Amino acid sequence: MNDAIAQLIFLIIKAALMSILVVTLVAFIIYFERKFAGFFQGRVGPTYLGPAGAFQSFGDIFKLLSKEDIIPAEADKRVFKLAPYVMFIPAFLVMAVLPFGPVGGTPNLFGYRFDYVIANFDSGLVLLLAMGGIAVYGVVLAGWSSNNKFSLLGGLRAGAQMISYELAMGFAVVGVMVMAGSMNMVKIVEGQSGNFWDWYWAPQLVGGIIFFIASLAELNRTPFDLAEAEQELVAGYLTEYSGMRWGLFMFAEYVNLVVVSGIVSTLYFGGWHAPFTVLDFIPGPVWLLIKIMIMVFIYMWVRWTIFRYRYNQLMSMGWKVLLPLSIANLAVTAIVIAIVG
Amino acid sequence: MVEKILFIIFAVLTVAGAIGTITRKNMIHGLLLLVFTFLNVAAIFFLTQAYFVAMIQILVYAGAIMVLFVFVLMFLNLRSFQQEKQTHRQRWIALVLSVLVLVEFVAVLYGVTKAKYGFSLASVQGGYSPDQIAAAGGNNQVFAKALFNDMLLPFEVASVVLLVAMVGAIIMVKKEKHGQMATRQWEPGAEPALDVAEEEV
Repeated sequence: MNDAIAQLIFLIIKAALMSILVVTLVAFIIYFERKFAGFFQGRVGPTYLGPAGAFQSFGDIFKLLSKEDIIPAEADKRVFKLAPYVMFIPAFLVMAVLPFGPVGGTPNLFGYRFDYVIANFDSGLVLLLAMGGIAVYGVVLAGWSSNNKFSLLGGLRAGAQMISYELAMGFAVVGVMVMAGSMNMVKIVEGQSGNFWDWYWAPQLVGGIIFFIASLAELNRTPFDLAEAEQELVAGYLTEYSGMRWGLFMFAEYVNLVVVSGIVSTLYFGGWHAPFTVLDFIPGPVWLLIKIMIMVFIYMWVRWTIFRYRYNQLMSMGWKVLLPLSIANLAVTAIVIAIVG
Repeated sequence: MVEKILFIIFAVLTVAGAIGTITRKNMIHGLLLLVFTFLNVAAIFFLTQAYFVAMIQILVYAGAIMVLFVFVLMFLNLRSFQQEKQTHRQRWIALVLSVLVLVEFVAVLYGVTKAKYGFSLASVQGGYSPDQIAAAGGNNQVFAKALFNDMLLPFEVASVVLLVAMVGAIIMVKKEKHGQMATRQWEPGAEPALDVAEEEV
């Protein structure tokens, strides 16, 4: 068997594994979110299905699957059906550039090289920004095609918010790019080898915080969940969706949560590297998964602790605070790198 | 071989998307097909291993510019657009212009290939061979070198033109706002008529 065929087989295995991993992770993250929400609010959360309610998510999935699928009579039916997938697919595509372990080097599996990443190419970092840009369509089209005032307002809000925060996010990411000297995700992780104080969170602290805030807005989670602000807009762009189509949106939201946590861990917290070089004997995927789960917890923590922003506050924070700060961060990073080398 | 098959698939999808864009009566559908076209163009860039250009194609054209188009269209009433009669007055001018553009493309392609490889129209290659790209350290390095060293002046001119357009757009918006101030419904100092508001509740 020659190497090309082996790599093709590995590729299929990796893609399948990644999908399974994300889907199972999401099922349990939804359960964790409900448990944590209960914990933060002094409740108990789900308890009935399975031990301590652990199978609640699966129960929810069966419930959603068995529900009637309602499409409003005046809706644009084709766009209405398309929107959940537009939201869903970009999230999975970003997983392709997330490195879960070392790439390149000596053969390590049956005499062939098994790389822990699906697509290792330059500009992998731009892919995640591009896919963020495509995901905006899912929300905007869902809002428009429902032919409902609340949906349209929610869709427009979400679209404007995501476009605004994408800019700050992009500039924050460029700081990491300058430090690593590459747009390749694998090289960015390789640039952070060493103990945990060698990771980019320390030199890119400002950029990292900007990225985190902007990613909250991209994920449409509280404090930036104005698109589905239930007190004002019923459920925003989700108002007319029901059954599994609604489930797909929810699912995409949590896939996005996992993906963004993975990106933050990769860009700022050393990706597959162990926090101490002594612990390098534990394989990289384990470390990345631990980091992803910690980040997911932090996102939940923020969601259930901080109040929702008002729309004008959100916009002025994006344009007047985060964007100038991220540009300043980039300028300082570039100057320091140019002097130090 | 695989690349050629993929290229044919994406090229056909691109052309189909473009034809769909200009034949749809529903403008949002047309826009979505245009986005689809851009995504296929990005796929073709990907096939040529121009990863950065492919990503920028998605990020800028499909992601940023088209979202603004969708925004504008959503604010308008689409029903009234569909009922309006379409004008065909410009079609002969459009036909002549598009034929001219096509002739120009063919002429340029022909000129490039003739200068480099004699009279063949196949496999036009850029200024860098794969070996040179590998030596420079990757696609992005070569791309950045071309953009910020060899072609710096045209790049800067294009940037300034875009900046001027942006500033112009902002000024036009501001002028409109100065022209018509918001009118007050009641005299300054006086309370608005309360009984009207209460009746509505």
